[in-house]
Parts: sequence; C-alpha cells; structure tokens
Amino acid sequence: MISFQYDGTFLGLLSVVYYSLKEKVEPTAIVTNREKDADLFSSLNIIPTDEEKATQLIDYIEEKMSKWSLRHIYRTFLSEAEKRELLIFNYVRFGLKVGKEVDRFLTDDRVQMVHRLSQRVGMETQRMKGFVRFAQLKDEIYYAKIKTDYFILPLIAPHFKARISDQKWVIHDVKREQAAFYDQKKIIISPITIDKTLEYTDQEKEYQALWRQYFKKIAIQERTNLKLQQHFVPKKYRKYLVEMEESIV
Amino acid sequence: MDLFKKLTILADSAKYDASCSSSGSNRKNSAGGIGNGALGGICHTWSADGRCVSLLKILLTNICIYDCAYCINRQSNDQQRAIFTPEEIADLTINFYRKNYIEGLFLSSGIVKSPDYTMELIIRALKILRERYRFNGYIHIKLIPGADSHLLSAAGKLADRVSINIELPSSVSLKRLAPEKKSEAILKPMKQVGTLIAANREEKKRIKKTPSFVPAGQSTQLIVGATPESDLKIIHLSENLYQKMDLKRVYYSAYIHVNQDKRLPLSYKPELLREHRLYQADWLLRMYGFGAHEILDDTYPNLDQDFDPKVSWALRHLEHFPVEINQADLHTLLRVPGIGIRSARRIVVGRKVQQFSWEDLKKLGVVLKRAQFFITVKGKYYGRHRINEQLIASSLSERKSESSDLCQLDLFSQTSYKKKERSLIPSHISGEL
Repeated sequence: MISFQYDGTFLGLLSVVYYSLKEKVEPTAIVTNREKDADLFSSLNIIPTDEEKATQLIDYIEEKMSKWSLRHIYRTFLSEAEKRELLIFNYVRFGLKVGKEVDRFLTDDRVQMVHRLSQRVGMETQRMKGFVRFAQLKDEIYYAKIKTDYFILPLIAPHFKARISDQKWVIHDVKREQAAFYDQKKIIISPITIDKTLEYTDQEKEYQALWRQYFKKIAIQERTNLKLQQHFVPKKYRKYLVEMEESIV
Repeated sequence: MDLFKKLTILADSAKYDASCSSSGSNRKNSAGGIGNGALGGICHTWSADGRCVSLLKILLTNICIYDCAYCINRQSNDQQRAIFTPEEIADLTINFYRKNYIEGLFLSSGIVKSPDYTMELIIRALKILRERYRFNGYIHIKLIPGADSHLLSAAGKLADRVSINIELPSSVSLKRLAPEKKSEAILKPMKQVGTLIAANREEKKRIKKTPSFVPAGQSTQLIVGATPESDLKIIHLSENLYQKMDLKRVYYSAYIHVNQDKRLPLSYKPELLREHRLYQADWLLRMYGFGAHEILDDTYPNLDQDFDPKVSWALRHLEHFPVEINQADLHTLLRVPGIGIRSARRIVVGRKVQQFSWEDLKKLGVVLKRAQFFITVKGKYYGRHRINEQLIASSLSERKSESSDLCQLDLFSQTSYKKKERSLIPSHISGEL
C-alpha cells in the first residue's frame, strides 16, 4: 500500500506519476495536501513538485502517446473527479506501453474513464463559452460570475483573451472562489475575495433590460417547448444568466 | 421611438427565421479589434421554444413594400413599424458582444423603398461594425432579392454568411403567395454569390492573404406546410441546392398561421413533426451519404411519421442487412439505424486494435434498441426478432399504440404523458449541428 501526496497542481500530479513510473511503484492512492482522509494504514509519501521532471513527462507523453492524449489528461485533471489521479496514472502507464494507439482502446477501462471525464469537461467548457455573462462595472472592468461542475477557468480564459482582448475582465468561479483576471495583456488565475459591493454602470442596466426583452421576443409562442429549453440550459446554470427568470443578476 | 421599443418590434418580426448558426468561420481578431469566429459555432442561450440563440437576430426594418401572403410583415398588415439606423444596429451588436450575450449579428430586413436602398442600409451597418469598431465576430446577412449585383458582392466582403430565402418549395407556389418575388430574383443572386465564393476559394489557395468572401457560405430557408409540395419534392430541391449551388444549409420552417388569407391553409398548428423529419432527412443528405432518391420516391413521396427516415429506409431495404460490426466500412455503418456519425467513427477507429463484442457496443454509443435488428457482432445476430419487416417495424415505431397508452394512464397517468411527449419532441433547430 503506497500513498502519495502532492500539492494539488497539475505539475505536482505529474511529478508523482513521473516518480512512480521511474521507481516502478504502483500507488494505491494519490491525494492532495488538502485531503485529510489519506489512507491511514499505508505510508504517506509526500512528493514535492518538480517542474523540470513534470515538463519532461509532458513532452514524453506528447511524443509517445499524442497531444490529444495530453489534452485528455489535463481535462481529466480539471474534472476534480474523485480518484482522478489514479485514473490518470493508469492511463499514462498504459499509454506509454501501447504508444500512439492508446486512444483507440475505447472499451478498455483505463482509457474509457479518462475519455469520459475529458469529454464532460470539454462539454462544459463549450457550454460556458456561451454562458459567461459579463457586466460592466463602474471602474471599467467587465465582471462575470460562473458556477460550474468542473474547474474550467483555465480552458475558457484563453478563448476570451483571443476574443475580447481590448477590455479588462474577470471571470469569477464562485464554487471554487477562484478567478481568471485579464488586464489587456495576460491572464492570471488566482483566488478571489470581494470585500465591497460591486457597482454597475447605468449603461449596464440598460443593456441588460434590452437583452432580456430581446430574449423574450425572439421565442415563437406557437412552438413553446420549455423541456427542450431546459435540456440545453439546465437550471443549475440559470442563476447567472441575465435573460433567465431564475437569474439573480 | 426609443431603442427599447424598436428592439421589441424588430426582434419580434425577426423570430420566424430559423437559422441562428454561427459556425463555419474562423475569422481572426485583429490588432486593436474585437471578436473572432469560432469554427464550430457557439450557442449562447436557448429561448422558450427550445431554439438556440447564437446571434442577435433582428430586422433592420419591418417596413415592407411587398405583400407576401405568409409573412407577418407584409405591407397590408396593420401593425407597428420601426426602422433601426445602421449606427443603432452596430452599437447594439458591439455592446451585446462585449457582454458575451451573442456570437455576432444576423441582420435581415423588410424591403424599404427599394431592394437597393435596403441593401445599402445593411451594408452601412456592416461597414460601421467592421471598419469603425473593427469587429471580427460573426455576421450573417440576408441578401435582398432584386438588389444590384455590385451591392451583393460588397456585402459578401463584409459578411461571414449570406442567405437568400427560397421561401416556398416551387416557383408555382411562390408566384401564388409572393407575387412580387420572382424565383429568378432569388436564384440569380444565389448563383452569383456561389460563383464569387468559389473564385475566392481558388484565389485564397494562391495568395493566402486574400480577404475572405462569405467564408461560412450560403444558406436558405423554406416554409413547409403552406403549400401542397410533397417531402419528395422538398428533399430533391435541397439536394440540388447542396450539390449545384454549394449551399451549406437549408432550413425548414413549419408554416405558422399568422395572416388571414384565402390563399393559405387554415391549419392553426404548425407541422412540427414533419419539420423534424425533414431535418433528419436533410442530415442523411449532408452527413450520411444518402441520395434524395434513396430516402423517398414516387411510391413513398412523404416521410414516415412513425419512423425516422433512416429506419424507414432500412425497413424497405432489409436485403442490405445484417452488417458485421467488426468488418463493415464507415459508409455502410452510417446506414445502420442506431449508429450515428460519432459511434460509426469510433467503431472504425477502435477496430484497429480490438474486436468489439455486443457489450462493447453500448460503451461506444450505439443505440442497441434500434441497431440490434441490423447488425451481427462477431458473426452472431442478437436481434429480438428475425429480420422481418413487420416485426422490426412494430418494435421501432415511435407511435405509441393506444392500448398501451391507456394502460399506462391508469397506473402512472403523469409519467405516461411525459413519455409520450418526449418521443414526439422535435429536436431543436440548432445552427451548431
């Protein structure tokens, strides 16, 4: 029984994977330093993050497996799913053995589990590219709140950087109290606390009203289909969608 | 009239346009500019009718000099009219875009004064967006039938997608319901734009920096159920538009009764199921390698209500089945009911390193309820019935038999309604698929 602990970062996890592969040990648990319930009966080995080794492993994965495999690994990591670390370890170990063909083993559990999580994270990312709603604050910052199942900030931030590069914006992940900050140059993802009431511009309220009205008017009454609407816009996302009745904006 | 009022009127009049697609363009953001295109398109929300909202879909004006029978904006209708200035359209678009409400603009219009005058106003709005605001997001515009060809090519340089609506499936119907619109005035610009798109594509191959001309291609829309054309006629028309005119999409819109007019049918209920079936047939044409003649013919001129068109085709062609999952090529797999594009590709990709078993197929996303009758897995047939048209048909029919409905009603009156509803929900019209 071997348990490893890492610092919760992607490079930290890859350091554990690197170490385990190199020392040929099979971890029974890989936990972050925030999880308290590390298996008490096994020895808990703290693996410090080694950026150089982790980067080496990234290059190696890209070369031996593929850049798509690496993408699956990163997305699985961002899913924050329970035991994702072991799933990633097993996938990498299997992948380095079978090489480029790894992602063809669609019914092998080691591959399927990672693909499934990666796909879910990808779907939520795509959804949130549409669902983020910026509101203009008085100090010229565009501010958006999101609440997502997965930690998708690192995946959507570059999208908004490419698209609206001339305005300052913040996307606030309220579930994790993390935010992506963009200052017209670069993106920083870090913890966020808001200690004052946010003040919106007058123009902001006006455009919200215009958008709500537009949204109402664009539906064809004879075709009303709320179930279908809910399929595409589940209730859990509606809180921060200006146009929805359930919105608290 | 204030902006709020104008938006109210001009969104309301724009809602009957089915398309809201923002896909097909990967226009890049420019230095000091705003926006870009997302190749696969992005949906930003869904309205109460379950339709995706991707673009700000509005009319420049609902004033119209024409009097088409089916159209809410026809000249003889007594309703409030409004017109945006090009500046107002550009400002709305930019501000909505900055808040990530939309992917861009879909601008259409009634005909104000003349086709040329209307087209010029549309172009002015686009110029403000592209030049003053350096907007690189998605723009879809309606071409105005009868506008000068110079205006069409000017508009094409600014837009990502253009469309000109065919409106009705035959020129006879068009003549009857939209006497001022000549089918010639619709097809000519469509051809012209098609030629310009093809030329631009060639030019781009030689000189990479050539500015794009309608990079996301052309689409069109037609109304289903206002006139007597069969589904056979409609899908042949669509096939022609895809093959000869190189259109990206044809949209179908179930006729909605908005005007009292003796030339129109009296039906008050839009034929949503029929519209849904036409979209399914359209998918078979575009993505599954079917020809229109395979989907329908003179013996079967209309799509089956009870089966999707692929099942319906398969039932009439049982001689092609069953096919072996571990051997059939992609083209053949795509024709199996219950196997979609994604699962067909997954089978072909995965087969190189393993043989699939019956249990594996579920993991791959195959809908076994349908596929079971049409496949073998490692040589074995798992279907509940022999390959027999009647037996399979009764298993796959989407129509619930009345007796089973009644019995469910007794036991779970609530849920049985829900179930029935679900099976008949026409899938959404999404631009992104």
